[in-house]
Amino acid sequence: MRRRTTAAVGTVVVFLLVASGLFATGTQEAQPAPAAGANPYAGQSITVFMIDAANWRALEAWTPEFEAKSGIKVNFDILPEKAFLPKLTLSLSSRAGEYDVVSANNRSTPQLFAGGWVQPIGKFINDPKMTEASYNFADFIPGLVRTCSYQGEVYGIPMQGSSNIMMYNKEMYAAAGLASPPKNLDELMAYAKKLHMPEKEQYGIALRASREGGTNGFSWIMIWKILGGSWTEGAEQPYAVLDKAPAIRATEYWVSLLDNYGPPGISNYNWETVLVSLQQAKVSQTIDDAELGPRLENPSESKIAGKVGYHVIEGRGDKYTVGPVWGLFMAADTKNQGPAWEWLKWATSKETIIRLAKEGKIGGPTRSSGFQSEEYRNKYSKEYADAFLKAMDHGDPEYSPLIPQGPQIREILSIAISKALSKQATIEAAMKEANDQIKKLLNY
Amino acid sequence: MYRSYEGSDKTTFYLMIGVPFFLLVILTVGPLLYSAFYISLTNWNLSMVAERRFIGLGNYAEMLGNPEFWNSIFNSFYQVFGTLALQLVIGMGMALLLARPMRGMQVVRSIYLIPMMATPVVVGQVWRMLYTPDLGLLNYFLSLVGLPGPDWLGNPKIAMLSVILTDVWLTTPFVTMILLAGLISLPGEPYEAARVDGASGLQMFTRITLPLLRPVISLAAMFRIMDGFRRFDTIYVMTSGGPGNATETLNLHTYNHGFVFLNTGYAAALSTMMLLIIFGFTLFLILRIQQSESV
Repeated sequence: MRRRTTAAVGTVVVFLLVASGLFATGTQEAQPAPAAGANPYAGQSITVFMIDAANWRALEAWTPEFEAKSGIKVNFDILPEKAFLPKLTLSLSSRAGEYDVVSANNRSTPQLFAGGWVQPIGKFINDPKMTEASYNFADFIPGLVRTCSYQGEVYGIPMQGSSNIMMYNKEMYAAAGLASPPKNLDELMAYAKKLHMPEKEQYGIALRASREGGTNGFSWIMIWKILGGSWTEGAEQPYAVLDKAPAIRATEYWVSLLDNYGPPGISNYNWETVLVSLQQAKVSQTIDDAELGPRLENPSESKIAGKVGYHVIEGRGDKYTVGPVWGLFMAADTKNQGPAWEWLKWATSKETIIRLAKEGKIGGPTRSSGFQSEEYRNKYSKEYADAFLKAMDHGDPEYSPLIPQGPQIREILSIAISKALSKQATIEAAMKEANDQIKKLLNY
Repeated sequence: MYRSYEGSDKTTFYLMIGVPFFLLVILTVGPLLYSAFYISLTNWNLSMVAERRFIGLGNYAEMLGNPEFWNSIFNSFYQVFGTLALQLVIGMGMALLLARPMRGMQVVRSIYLIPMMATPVVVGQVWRMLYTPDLGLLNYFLSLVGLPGPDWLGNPKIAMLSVILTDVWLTTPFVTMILLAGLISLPGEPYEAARVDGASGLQMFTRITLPLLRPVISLAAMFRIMDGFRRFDTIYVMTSGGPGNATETLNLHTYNHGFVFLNTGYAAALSTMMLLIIFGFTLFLILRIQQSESV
């Protein structure tokens, strides 16, 4: 009898211990105050959450040098885009202090700012004890810094400013008798028709068209902006602009282009599939993020290295390209501000950024000194640098709605154009339905 | 039952039952009630916390008037019952084959369970590769016999069928296992009597096997319906609900609202609705099973 009771009590106690152990993970303790000296934060650790792309992976690979110098241990959590976006907002909104530093672009920042989940870093930049003069924050391109700011305060450090350019296979152009890149969208359509040879397994054009992560919206917006589209400019009902002429025309163009001259299975293409289809010389041209350029020029993965042309198709007005800016932000709930700021300074220093450009991890350095550096000029062709700079100059940081309902608006757009492409609905019906949903969402 | 225990045995009993029950309440029932009776009655959006208000049944009203919701309900039913129908037929066939005593049958019975052990996310990725129109294996084999390969995941008319097919591959072994267990435990006398009477194989199957197996089939159906409504990983990986919203089931719809748009209140209402639907079917099937057993 007593033995059985003891056994029962014993089991319960063990069970409770295990359960409490499970509950205890995930909470961070505050780090001890920094010791004086050259490595004030030695022995402390931070956790960085980044999206899976070449430049961020490079930072992860080079961080051991930082760890050796500073004594700070850096843990990384890296996820591909589709998984990264929801986890970013979920983790930060739970306020558990899981991450000290996060990467984010203007797709997510409206939610981060509105929710108060990241903190302004002006106090670190302007404090001479925390930031040495050689760091030179003024070196960062002002337009990019503005995109990482909110209500006049700087929140993030731009790490990757990008924009969309046209990238095309010069060899395939020459074979089709095309001497120069298309000047406008009509010419682009005509070129795509000429270059579309399915019997040779060569296709006219590829754009992102998959619904996953709303990535088709990204390529649609590129076309829309060339046609003069804007979420807020001149709109009586900002963001509810999908039934207006530029949006309808953009959808008609986008659907027609992909339907007639895209490769089979185009409706599942994300940026990686677009990249591979160009690298394998299956598709001759695309309009996409200029950061794909270095990957196209990498001979170890691209068949067309050295044969790529770069060009910007001009649009109406001043801001006719997309301006996504990826930055590094410090979480509001971090308990490790000191070490986090040390890593941030290292990751965004002039040396690191020039090194990223030199090794082809980043096509557009976010510091002016980066663009002007010898390493950058030696690495990239003048054609690429010129196209990139021109596109960035005309980049609209508000290419994606910068309000907390932004992701939902992007999703509504994504479903609408996906329906239009797969002929589940006519273009007018799909866009009108989407616009009505946006109006309802914003309580118009 | 507990009346038969005495003294410290009774203490043991309460301790053994009490702790797991207590944890169950805290970890599952508690959050469920909180979600259904509090969160789903607010307009809670995680990025606009200051504007959180109690709105009563507002979320439910909005849900019922939202065509996207009804589309996701339709897709869920299509997916669940489409998969179920195929699984019962194929599962029954496989169970009949495996029920025969044959040498090496133990090995065969283990092999057919393998799809069930695979991780759904991995299965989704692999099938997505198989379904790729230009480079995938399915269209390659079709081309070998001269048939044109469709765009399995990009054509809105057949995207859901492709999703169903993957699900069938993944979970039919489970149905087969349950039906096989039922088949093996059937009594032999009715069959002998039928054979003496000169009944054909088909007659024996429809007049003897199926009626006797009805509770087992209902059990398998119940499990599959519960699981089917919760299927997320394969669909998310293969189509993300696309093309358009042709494969957006209630589960994916809820995920988008909860984790992408951060509309936690609305997502809680959607989850509660899903729970009610699954509960309704499960209750119906359990009652049917109990009825058959009491006969």
